[in-house]
Amino acid sequence: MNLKSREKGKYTIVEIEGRIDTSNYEDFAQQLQIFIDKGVKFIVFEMSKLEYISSSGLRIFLSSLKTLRAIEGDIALCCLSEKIKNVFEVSGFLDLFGSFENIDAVED
Amino acid sequence: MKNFLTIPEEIYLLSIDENGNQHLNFRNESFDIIIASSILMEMLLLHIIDSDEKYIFPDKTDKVNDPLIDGVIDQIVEYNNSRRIEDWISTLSFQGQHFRDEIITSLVRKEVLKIENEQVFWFFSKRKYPMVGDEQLEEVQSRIRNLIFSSDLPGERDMVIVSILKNSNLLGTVFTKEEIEKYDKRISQIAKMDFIGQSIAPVIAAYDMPFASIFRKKTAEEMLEEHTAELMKKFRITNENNLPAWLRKGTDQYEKTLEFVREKGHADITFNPKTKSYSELNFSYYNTGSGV
Repeated sequence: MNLKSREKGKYTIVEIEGRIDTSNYEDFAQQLQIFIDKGVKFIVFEMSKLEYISSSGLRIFLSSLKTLRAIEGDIALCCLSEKIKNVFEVSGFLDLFGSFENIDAVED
Repeated sequence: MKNFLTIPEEIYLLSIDENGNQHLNFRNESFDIIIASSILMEMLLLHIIDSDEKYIFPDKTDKVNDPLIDGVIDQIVEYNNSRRIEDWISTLSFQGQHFRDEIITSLVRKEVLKIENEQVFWFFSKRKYPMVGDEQLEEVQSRIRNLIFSSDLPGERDMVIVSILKNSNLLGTVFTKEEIEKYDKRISQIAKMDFIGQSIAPVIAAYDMPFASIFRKKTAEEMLEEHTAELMKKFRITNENNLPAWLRKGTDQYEKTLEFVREKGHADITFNPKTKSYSELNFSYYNTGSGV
């Protein structure tokens, strides 16, 4: 799993590449915590290159959302592949997050 | 911080009424499936296993000093591979009686329940947990109600409990019929959020036969064959090679099972792989009192 981030307006866009699974969900959680500790409040996950996500990965999305909403921040999703969209849909997680159809739609 | 109660313990508490009697809805083998699922969910939250929509994988399989969980960790380590969620639920459901005994023992040790004259009671005069340090923990029924009636994001423990209740058709132990209708959308949304929870309903649905064909005047072999056939149907096991050794013909353990069936005169038994001991299925915990 690789994460790349850049700023766009009030948002931090985090591009996720690869898999979030048993081998690396802790790294994923740790890296998100670093963003939050630096004061990031609004995250958009660009997920077109995310190949797989397990339950542990999904729960990190949930816990990060709880953390950010508690400080009036938020998380949105963008550019989900059909496969990943299906996982988020079946698990009910898709309803929890706002979404953007593409990165251009994210406000500057 | 380690949680005061595990998911299986809280599910067991939801299965008993104010007087400690187990609700009628739970007095069947479906409860074994529910308890098996709740153990897997606890292991998921402890990162002992991970899952996706179909499979469970081993994660950090160090022992956690909980007899119930540690016994299952041994089985996960022994299997040491990904396996369908439904198959793990089925395998663990075979050990339902053993799990119930472990759960009740643990709840008594934690002074949430007490046993008097072989009957289970709440330790306090009502649904309440003991103080843990300076903190009064909120009892599970109250906690789940408050979650559903709010618009808060769920914590992961309450999320899986809602998933169990919804997918086991047991919401009636926490909510009134009117509440279930009114909050259906929110309950359904939270219940979807756990893949193991989603797997409970199909496993229960596959089990549609009456449980007891016990006390028949048949040979030990016939009784055990019938019992095994029922369990295979219940847990959708199509290949006898996938049965645990104590039910698989040709194994030494199967011969020991037959001996135990002969001794007891019926095949309504279970085997604890941890202690390598047999016991009769015991319904004394839930044969008293009124139901839901």
